[in-house]
Amino acid sequence: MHKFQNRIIIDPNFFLSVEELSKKNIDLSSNFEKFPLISAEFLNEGNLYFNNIVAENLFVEKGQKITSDYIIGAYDESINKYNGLAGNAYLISHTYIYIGKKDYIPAIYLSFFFFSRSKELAVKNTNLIYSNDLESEARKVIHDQMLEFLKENSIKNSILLIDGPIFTGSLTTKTIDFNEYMVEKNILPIYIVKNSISNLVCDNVFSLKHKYNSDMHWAYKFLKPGQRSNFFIYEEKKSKRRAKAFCYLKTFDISPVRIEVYKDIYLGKQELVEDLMHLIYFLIIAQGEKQNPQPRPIIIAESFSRESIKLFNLNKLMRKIGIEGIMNQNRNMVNF
Amino acid sequence: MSWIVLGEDKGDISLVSSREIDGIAPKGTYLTIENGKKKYIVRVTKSFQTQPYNPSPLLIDMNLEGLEADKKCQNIIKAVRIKDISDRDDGLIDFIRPQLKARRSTVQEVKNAVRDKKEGIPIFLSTVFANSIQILKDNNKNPIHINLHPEIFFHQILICGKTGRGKTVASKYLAQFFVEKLKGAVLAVNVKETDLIKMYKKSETKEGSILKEWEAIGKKPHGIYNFQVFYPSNTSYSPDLDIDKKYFKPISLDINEIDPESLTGILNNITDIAALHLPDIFRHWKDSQTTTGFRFMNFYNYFSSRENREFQTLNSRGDEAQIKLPYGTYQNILRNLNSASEFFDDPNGEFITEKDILNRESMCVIDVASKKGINFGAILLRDLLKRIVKAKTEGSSDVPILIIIDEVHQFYKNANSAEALGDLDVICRTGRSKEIGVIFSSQNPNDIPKGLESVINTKIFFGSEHSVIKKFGFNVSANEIENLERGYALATIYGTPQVKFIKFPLSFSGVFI
Repeated sequence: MHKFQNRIIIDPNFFLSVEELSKKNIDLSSNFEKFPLISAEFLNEGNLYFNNIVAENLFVEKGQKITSDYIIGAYDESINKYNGLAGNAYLISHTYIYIGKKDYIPAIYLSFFFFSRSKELAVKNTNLIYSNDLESEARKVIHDQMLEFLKENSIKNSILLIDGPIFTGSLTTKTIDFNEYMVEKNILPIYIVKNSISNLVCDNVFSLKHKYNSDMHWAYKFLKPGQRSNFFIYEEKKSKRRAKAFCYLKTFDISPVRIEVYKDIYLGKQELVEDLMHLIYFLIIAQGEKQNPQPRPIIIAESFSRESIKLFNLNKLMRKIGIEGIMNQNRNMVNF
Repeated sequence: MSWIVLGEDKGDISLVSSREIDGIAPKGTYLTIENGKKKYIVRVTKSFQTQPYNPSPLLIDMNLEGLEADKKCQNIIKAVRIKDISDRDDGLIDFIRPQLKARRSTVQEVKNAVRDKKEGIPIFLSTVFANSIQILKDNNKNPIHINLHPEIFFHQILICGKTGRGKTVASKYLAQFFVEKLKGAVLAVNVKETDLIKMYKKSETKEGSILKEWEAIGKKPHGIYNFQVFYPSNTSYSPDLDIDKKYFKPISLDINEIDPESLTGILNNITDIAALHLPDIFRHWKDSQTTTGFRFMNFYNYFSSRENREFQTLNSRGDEAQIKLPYGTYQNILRNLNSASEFFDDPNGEFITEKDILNRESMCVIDVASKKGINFGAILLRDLLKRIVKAKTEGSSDVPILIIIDEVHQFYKNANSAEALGDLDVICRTGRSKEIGVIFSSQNPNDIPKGLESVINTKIFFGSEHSVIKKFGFNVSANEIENLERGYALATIYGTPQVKFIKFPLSFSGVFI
């Protein structure tokens, strides 16, 4: 089988611009456990801590000012999937960008995997993976790859915005390690969740129970545009390391977004994290898409990611090496 | 500093500026795309700005600065291939592959690409963006000039443009080059004010940019040494004009010498067929004279005395005939003869022939800017053109000649001049072999007699109406052509099709700004 070389594409100015920005700094050390735990309620799977349920106003000017104080990076990925008779192929573009002095500076990692239930096909090459559950194996591999990519390429002393939740399924341990590793490098990962049916708040705050379809629903009703909720801390009973702090942030009069950070980071740098909500508010307005309220750097990362994945035509490549697609693949009806 | 090739689309190479480029390469810029030892020179035909990260209108509305990175601009360019520098010999043309890098061409590369002629006519290349036009400069900010092949003179030139945009100055510049470098003779017809009659004087200007341009081509202002203005002896110059009389000579028409066909030049408002009778009547009358030294008035008296309007005629082949002129035609010719009588037989004016014109390194101007001057010029020019062509055809002169008819639209408004220009058609078509060049100057190219367009190989348009130049196939906007600054022109030049926007250096003589 044709061997696909994974490749990393780094902007020639990537390291030069880092030097330029090195004066900007972020300090994530010390000052843990300052969160005032006035109220706490308990779930079956974990504990939810919060102070008062309040709406805080966000200020776009304050957010704008923060952009010049910190290095801001963002991550997004694009995935092309090919459903073949012999297995599934994935072309993934992991993209990290940071806001340079006058430009967005990208680093892109293009990778390819082929997952098959056929051991004959899969054992001889690290990119050809045997699995009984192709989908979940693919998610795991892609997630691991993302974490490694960000560990290697994120700029030290920076804020890192990631599209998606902090914890996904069973990938907890690596995610926790990742966040702790990032803290050591003075990198503050902030996760932005757009679509969620999570009920952590509504199910566990007595006054909200059964009143809303989801936390997003509650937050949409509770917040006005330009507001965020207080932070909640969620900690799993089984693993106290699997813990996060989150709040809801509403920029426009549409569904809010959930902002998540690793619990220890929040507890250590509560004031900073809360200030950064102004930054995220500003960055969502900077993007200005009411139908897709995402911080601008994530959208830029997404654009680079989409462009770079076009470098390879996965369908053509697969057919060239003799992997016939399933019927829907040939009818371009495959989703990941 | 580089641009990066994106690809090719319908013959245009698309490029995008790299991060270190902080500006727009205007239309007319030359770029060199490098591919190892191979080079491809392209000329920018379209250039615009794009913003890869368009800032959100929401932020702008909030009067916030936004992100600096969102202000990033890129320059997108469309360019045409001008020249390949490649050792390829298999009959195929190299691809210009995406992601090749391009930089601004060096002076030498531009000169090679446009087939610069070392001893040619220096002109500056220029670039245009929106309404801003400027001389093309190299990386050291020096203006880039090229030298046009002098052969362009003998493939005929049309210069058009609105008043004051530089067409007369360009004619002067070309005339001086023709006199001094080609060692030729120039015959110019001045129809307006003092446009061409002070070229014995060096140009004067305090404009620093013009001085810089002269310096760039290694020239200094100077007048034309062998310079002569001929003017109708029945006119005079006002002392206010501040002219040096030694360069001015009064002339008159000599009925004994003038070619009978040239007499049609005095006729106005008459059909071409009716106009043909006058030369034949005059020829017969002249042939019947038994003494020499007759005068124009003698012919006038003869013509006016024939109240029955019946005349003997003699055509150029020697065939005799008789004709009765219609009353209207007779009256018209009579009126025009009366009106033209003042041009003839003035003892204070000399009669000039081709011998006064066909002299090396000299320039003669027939000044017909005075009242009725156009009529005078129409007769004289026609006579001189016939004599010049005859002398060149018979080989009695090997002096290259350039004929400049400035503001040809004024000259042409007179029906007689149309006939004179009819002769120019013959000259245009034989100019290359006989070393006769013609420069037509006009506000509107439509003023040029039909049929001549196809033999005029160099067309230069100073600021003109867009609708006027459209038919010549230039791909420029109305703004670009109508707002061309003085001295800048859009051109299609014989032998140098790669050049489009140019700037003429100021003429070294006869311009005072």
